[in-house]
Amino acid sequence: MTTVLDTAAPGPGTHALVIGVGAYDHLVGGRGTLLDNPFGLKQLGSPPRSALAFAEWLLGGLANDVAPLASLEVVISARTPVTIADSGGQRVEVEPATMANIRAATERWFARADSHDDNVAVFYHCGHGLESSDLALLAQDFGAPGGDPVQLWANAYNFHRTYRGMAKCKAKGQFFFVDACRQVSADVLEFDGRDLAALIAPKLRGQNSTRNAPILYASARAARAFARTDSVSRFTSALIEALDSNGAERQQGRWQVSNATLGRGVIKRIELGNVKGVPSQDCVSDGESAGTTTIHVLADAPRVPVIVSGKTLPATAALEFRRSVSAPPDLTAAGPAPWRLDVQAGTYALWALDGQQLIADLTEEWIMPPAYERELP
Amino acid sequence: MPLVFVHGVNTRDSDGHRDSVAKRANLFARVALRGLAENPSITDPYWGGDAARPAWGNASVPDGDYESFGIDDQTAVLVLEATGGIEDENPLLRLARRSLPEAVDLLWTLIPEDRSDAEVAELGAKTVAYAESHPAPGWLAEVSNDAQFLTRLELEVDAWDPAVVSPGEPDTWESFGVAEVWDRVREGAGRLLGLPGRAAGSVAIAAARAKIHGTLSLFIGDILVYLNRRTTADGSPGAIPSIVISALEEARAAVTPADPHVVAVGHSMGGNILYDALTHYRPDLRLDALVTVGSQVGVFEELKLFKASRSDIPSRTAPKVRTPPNVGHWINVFDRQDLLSFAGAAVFDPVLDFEYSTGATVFGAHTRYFERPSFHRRLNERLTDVLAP
Repeated sequence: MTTVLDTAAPGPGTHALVIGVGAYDHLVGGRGTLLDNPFGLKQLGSPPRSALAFAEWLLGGLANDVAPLASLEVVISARTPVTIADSGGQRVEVEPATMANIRAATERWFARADSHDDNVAVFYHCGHGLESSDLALLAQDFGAPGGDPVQLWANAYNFHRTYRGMAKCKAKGQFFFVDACRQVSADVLEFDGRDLAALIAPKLRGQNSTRNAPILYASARAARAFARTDSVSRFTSALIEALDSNGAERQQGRWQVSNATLGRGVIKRIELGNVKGVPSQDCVSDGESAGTTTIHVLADAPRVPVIVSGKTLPATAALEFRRSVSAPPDLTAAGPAPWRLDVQAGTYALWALDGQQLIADLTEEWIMPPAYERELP
Repeated sequence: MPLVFVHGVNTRDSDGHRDSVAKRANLFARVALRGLAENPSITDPYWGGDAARPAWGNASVPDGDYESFGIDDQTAVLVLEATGGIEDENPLLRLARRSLPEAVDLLWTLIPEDRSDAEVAELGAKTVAYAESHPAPGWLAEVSNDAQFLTRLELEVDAWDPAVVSPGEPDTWESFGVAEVWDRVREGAGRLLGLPGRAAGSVAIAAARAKIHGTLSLFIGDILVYLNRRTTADGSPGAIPSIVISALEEARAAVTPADPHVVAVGHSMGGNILYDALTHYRPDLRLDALVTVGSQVGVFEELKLFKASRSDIPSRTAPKVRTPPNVGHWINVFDRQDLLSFAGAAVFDPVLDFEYSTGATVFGAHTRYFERPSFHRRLNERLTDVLAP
């Protein structure tokens, strides 16, 4: 088992389950017998790196004094085993994300998350997904024993039913991050999906009906999620960036990331990243929320993505950010517009200059999450 | 490069027709005109709206039933044609072992029209090129069913010839799901699974074939309407030739120094309409290439049915009809299985006759040319021969 952290501390805490699947035994390029129809699905380089990056962020980056990180379950399948530093600083080998390991890790995660009403449960999965009526997320041994198995979906699980199953968990805050494609493959539509099991069986009575449980999908329904090969995916990069910056909001004198604010921060990061040369992706938020749960608190004002453009700006123009009109510039964006950069949240005077000539003057601009976008006259 | 496609008889506007126009246009643009056009633009002048309209809705057809085939019936006929009527649990693999190019053509023909796009056409061109250079690859002996065949074909084609760029996102990106283009190929192949009692020789096919009789009513009707109404009382072109002439004029006006050629493709009756337009109504309109496919231009001329037909040809001094001087090159494609297609070289001079086998039966051959990537590859070769500098 790969329980990277389990403080067993009393009181509320954050309990996380991180699943990353890049190696698939029975898909194209896998080590086992190739499925007759692997749906064209191949091995992936990004999910192990993405899952590891998110797990390491939880270990080193998560700050929540109400519900500090209390446990972390990690299962990752990669061509070569992945290691992670445990709570004692020792690097331990992470178990592969086979269906059995995913189930076992889920049971441990659920039990801990269910131990206190004010817990925060975090679920993260990165890997291949296929959607018909529900979203199927595939384990490393999907398609075992190879060939044309009697139960094709035995080693995949139903995310949507798992989400509904988590309604019986007491944890008031529940965050679900799904970094997977949601394509509706014609082949998949041939199956009725009833044998696609949930990790946590839904229960109709005794539900936690006031949970704050957002779902962030890396892709819209019937669409794809992307990553540079062997790099952290677009979604996971945006998620980590948003957690540390524009997913926050000023509340009670602190910059807090909550179920109400995180989604718009991630969506904006993905949206701004849809530029030429990058496969376009649409992040979608879903889920149910009865109130607000904070997942993370920033130590300082967040850095906010800023895009300033202008139709008539000369190529030699630069953009200055000043805390006040009389202060020296905090930051200068050079080069031709549009200017894209991250700027710490606050109020600024924005001056567009061509040499010494002032060509646009915005004296009091609020640069606040999730983004600041402005077209200069 | 402007390309004008003139359809044949028995074509009526519908969602299905518009989808098939789009599928065909993608294959023309991405395969047939590859290397010949900077900006291929395909136009489809639609003249079915001015063709035959049976006053009693075809009540005179004995069983009153001339609706077109249902999808399953069409698929059944396709498989019957492709596999030669041999029952097999794995018709694709069976066909591939006989001829991989034919299996690829069948796969692309099976892709639903509304799921076809430029990427599908591009992949079709690459796959048929792979199949033609590997007509009997050794891996066909290593797979044992249709699903394995499709999986292996995808792997082999994707890995083949790194100089050819595969459609889709650049290799530096990976997506957490299926490759959409191949998914559409599998979707088309999946239609085979829904066939009633498998394809070959089934009662369903016999029933589907019987429905062809009904379609003959519109088929004959469209020809008669065209011949009867092609010229108005004052001698100007009637509705149908006017539609085609307008499209040719627009195509001529759209040429640029980068795309200097105009090509017109006439399928079946569309070839006859083009010939009339170019020889009688607008002999001033110039085409760089005329392509007639599954057409009856030769037999119409033998029967002297064209406006420009001359009764003194053939004679000892004029054994053949001269190809219209406003046509740079004339390519005529026929399939011996297509009883409605005819050669041209015995009647016209010069015309380049090319035989192309759709691999279909007499029932399917006439309508199958333009759905096959291999047809568009052949056409690209012929057009390149005559148009490329």
